[in-house]
Amino acid sequence: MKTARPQMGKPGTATACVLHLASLLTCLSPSQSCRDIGARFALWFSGLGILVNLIGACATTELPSKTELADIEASRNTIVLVRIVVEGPDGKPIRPFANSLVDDNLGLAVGDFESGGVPTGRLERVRFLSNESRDQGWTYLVLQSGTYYLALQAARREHLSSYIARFAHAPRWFLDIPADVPIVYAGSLYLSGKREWLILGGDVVEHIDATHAEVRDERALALELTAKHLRGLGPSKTTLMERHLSDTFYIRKPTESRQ
Amino acid sequence: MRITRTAMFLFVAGVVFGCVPIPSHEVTSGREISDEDVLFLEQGLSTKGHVLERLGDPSIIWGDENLFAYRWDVVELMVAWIAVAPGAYDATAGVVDVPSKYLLLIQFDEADRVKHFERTKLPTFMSIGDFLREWVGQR
Repeated sequence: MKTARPQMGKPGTATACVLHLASLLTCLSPSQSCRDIGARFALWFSGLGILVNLIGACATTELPSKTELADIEASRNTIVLVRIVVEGPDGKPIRPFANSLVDDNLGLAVGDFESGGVPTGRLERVRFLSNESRDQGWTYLVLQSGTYYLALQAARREHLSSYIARFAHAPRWFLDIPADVPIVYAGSLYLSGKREWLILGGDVVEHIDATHAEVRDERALALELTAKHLRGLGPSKTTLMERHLSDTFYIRKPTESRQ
Repeated sequence: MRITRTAMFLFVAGVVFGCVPIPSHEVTSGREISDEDVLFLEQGLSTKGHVLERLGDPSIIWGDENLFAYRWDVVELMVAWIAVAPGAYDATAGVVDVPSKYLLLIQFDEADRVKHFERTKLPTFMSIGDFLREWVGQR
């Protein structure tokens, strides 16, 4: 197997973010007219809030780490590529991954052997191969071979623990990840949803309707993406996820390499 | 004198906290399976079909080990609590559920007849995966 590393994200994005933050800091530096300490504090505090938001929005991708890549090359882990497309009532897409790395427009949770299949326990961190693929709804998970249940919910608008608990009853899809395959494309999930406009601009997914959800096979697009960003990791396999409506969870112990 | 002052300070500036445990038995998830419900199970005799007929579909199927797990959650204890801040003329109270997770584990042999079974409680800080591995490993 070749050992070429995947390409890194666009360097221009990070530079632009740093420049943006630097310009914001300059604007917020205490001026002569701001003599009142309270006003200065309020100004800095507001600036800090904006900075935190900007940093969150700037960090738009997270490629597999060196350790993960080594595990994938040794057939201990698999990159599972998924696309999620949410269409609003107007037929226009609502970007599922637009605002954050942990609390995005959509929340993902994965049930596995440890949880007995039920997708509760933690909110899955969404990761992307590039900014462009993120805009198109592509995300990926790094999983061992085994069976998994991917559950989705609209954007979080409540306490984290309540939100995570509700994943147990959220729409979910069954994933069967085979052993010794470096990359698995699990399908493109097309859902309908409702949009909620935010006061300061942008929109989030307010509600998703999985009744007519469809898993489409867009392996050509997936291949294009993996060829561009995960070149050298080896062949990929398409194993489409399936809607899971039953109350019975089929579990399989995660396996290490069979080689 | 010093103790009195400390007590006065805690009373005026601090918070007085109290809690009362309340026994409960509310099934919050799954279907409870009692000891009586599993009386029909006999090692080497009861079949998988018989189990499905009497108990319905299991919550978990671990195919590699030919194992069914029926799972249900029960709130067996509720804790009512109150926190009072006398100095601030303020108080808050609530009720916290203490849930317990139960499992009926049934492992079948190659002929799909009951090999082992146990109705058990999942330890609080143990994942189902770890518990299943341990349970199968001990048999």
